[in-house]
Amino acid sequence: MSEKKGKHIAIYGKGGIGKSTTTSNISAALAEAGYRVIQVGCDPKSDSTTILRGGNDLPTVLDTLREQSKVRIEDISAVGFGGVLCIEAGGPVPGVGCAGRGINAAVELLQDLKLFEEYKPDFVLYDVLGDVVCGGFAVPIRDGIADRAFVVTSSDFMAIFAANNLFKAINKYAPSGGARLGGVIANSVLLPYATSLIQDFAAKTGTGVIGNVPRSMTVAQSELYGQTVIEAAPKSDQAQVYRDLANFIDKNEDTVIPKPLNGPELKKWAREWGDRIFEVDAGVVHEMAAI
Amino acid sequence: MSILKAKAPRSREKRLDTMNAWQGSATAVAAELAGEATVQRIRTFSQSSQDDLLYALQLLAGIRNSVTVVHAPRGCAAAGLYFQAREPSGRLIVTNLDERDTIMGADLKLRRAVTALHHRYHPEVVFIVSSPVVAINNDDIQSVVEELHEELELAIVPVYVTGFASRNAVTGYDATLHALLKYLGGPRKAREANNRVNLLAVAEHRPDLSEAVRLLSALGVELNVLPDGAGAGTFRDATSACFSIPLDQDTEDYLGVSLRDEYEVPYIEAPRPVGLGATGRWLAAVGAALGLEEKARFLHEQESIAARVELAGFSLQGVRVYLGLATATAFGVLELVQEFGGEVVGITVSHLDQLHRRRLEELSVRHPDLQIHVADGQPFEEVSILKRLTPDLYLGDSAHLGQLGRLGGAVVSLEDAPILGYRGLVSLAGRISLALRNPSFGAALARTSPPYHDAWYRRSPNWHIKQEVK
Repeated sequence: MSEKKGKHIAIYGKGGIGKSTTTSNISAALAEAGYRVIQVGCDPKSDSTTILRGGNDLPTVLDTLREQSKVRIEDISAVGFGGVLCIEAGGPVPGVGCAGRGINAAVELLQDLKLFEEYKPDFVLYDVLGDVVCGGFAVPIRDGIADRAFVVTSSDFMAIFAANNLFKAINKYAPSGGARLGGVIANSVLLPYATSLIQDFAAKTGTGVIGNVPRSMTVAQSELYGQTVIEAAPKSDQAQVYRDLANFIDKNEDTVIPKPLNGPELKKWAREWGDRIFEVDAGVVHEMAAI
Repeated sequence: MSILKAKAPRSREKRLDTMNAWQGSATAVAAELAGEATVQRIRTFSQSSQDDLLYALQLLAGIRNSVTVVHAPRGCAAAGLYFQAREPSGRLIVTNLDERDTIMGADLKLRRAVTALHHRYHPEVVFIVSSPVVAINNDDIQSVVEELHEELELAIVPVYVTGFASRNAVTGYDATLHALLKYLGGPRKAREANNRVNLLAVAEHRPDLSEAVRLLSALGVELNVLPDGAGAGTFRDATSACFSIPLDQDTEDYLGVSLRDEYEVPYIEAPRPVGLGATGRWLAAVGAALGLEEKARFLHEQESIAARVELAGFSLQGVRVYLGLATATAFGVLELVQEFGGEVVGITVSHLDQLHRRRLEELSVRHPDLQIHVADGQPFEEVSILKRLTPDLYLGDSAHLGQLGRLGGAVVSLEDAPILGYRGLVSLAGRISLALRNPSFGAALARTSPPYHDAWYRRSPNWHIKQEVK
């Protein structure tokens, strides 16, 4: 294994939750702050780094491995906004193979190619699909690849469920050298209760929310231009949100081992929140509440 | 970064450009390995093959007072039965992963197995060997190791092999030696003056190991033999020895280099002590490291004289020989055959890599056209080569000697035959003399039907060895 250089950070989250957008904007903000950054997309969809690269094509590591016996860094990487080195692990042909093992093979290849020794990054961000936390998808938080993990979640129950699953994986692997949790990133926060719900989940699991990313037209617009918010709207409030997140990740290295909720606990917690939201919506006033 | 920090070492092909498929002249292969990037060849058809799991089980069978747990479906452990049938030092069990385990994970099963073995056999060390299934489902062996190590106060060593990540089975030795040193070597400690020498021996026959021990003891050396026959404490002792000397650099390189790089124990590079010349150079290397050059030279002279007396009349003058052996042994026997006037017309070796670069360069100068075939478990290619070269004598350790014998030449099996040092030489010479004196067995075998169809012999032996093109 080549020597590990820089801070290696894994960002997990349920598919479609805005994990790649968040990760790319954090990468862009770190690059803007003058750091050398590598972003590795660990999702068979291989679209993690699209908005860093202006939407251009980038061959994935696994596709390249399938076609060439010798692979060079130049074949599988592209330099994106702010000099961020973009890499997509990719996956097998849909319907065959093992995507988790693919991630493993891709990361091993990057180590064999001495990428981290030669590029000397300050940060390496692994953007990992969090719906499936089987052995393969847990690779970035096992075996000492990433030092810290962050989870992106919205207030949707399935996103919280995926985050709780990731906590289970971290809880399992951290004692034997796996990554610990840096915190929760609340994404697509729109409705008033969302922030409280995510904060409550974080508190219940012994973790903390490191930032709230509001749902924003600026993000959607920037993505349509094939850019990060940092690039497309650098002076926007949304860009500052991502800069704050990047700054937190840079300056704050505190980590915890989360305490995931078990099945019944999670259901009970969700039901309580369901009731609370219903009451807010219906304008229920509890006894003595007005006094 | 310490190489021992990694979970497992890099594969042989990545670390040393090791190749397991090739056929061509000594000059061509020397040039290939001297080039900037070695181009791997692949076999489009392979008759049989070993894997790294098998080599790991072989090595672990030699560790005293140990239990090896193969964390795998039951078939994977069958690979270790051969070694278990040969007076192993340790026990072997399998966790018998089933359908449910591959889906749900089997940490608990592994945990129960290790705990039960601990209470039943009280071993000094438990090895957990991973397998192809574990490489795919990523069962969490590491947590079991760390938790039970504390709970049971037991040395538990995980050996990470996949059975498929490397084309070269010898990677299994590297992975096992890596694990042994990582978990049993302990922290680096202050060096104390001692006369202890690490004799590195991975898979030697008992008489060969005895011969090496006899010779080094005659020099007054205190020996620490490992890994074969070693206990857990032997690895700790190895980290403060005054130097390490290998019997076979191909298999022991990783251990010698790791002891040197991690613990500053010098690694003496010396040839495999096969034949008079190489045994003399091997002893001289030990003598030089200890400042006992004169004693080593004297011992070599005395032993050589005694061996020559026993070898009186032994000659290979005019005998054309083909060798099919593990690489270091093949190069050793090649020199031995030449010492006694024989001509080596070709060799099949198990693998070639950067460790052989200097030897191949020497060969390419002295015997530029010597045909070198790299194969492990491919008798169909060897038979085709032998049909063309028609040697008088075949020396090999293949499990397929019967097929080679059907070509009619004299065949001597070196499997389980002593070969090292002066006693090994005398023993080997006796076997060769017997085979050459009595060709009737080969002649009788030649009357049986040939092992392959004529169509195969009409093709070049390297028909299935291709350069990988993508």
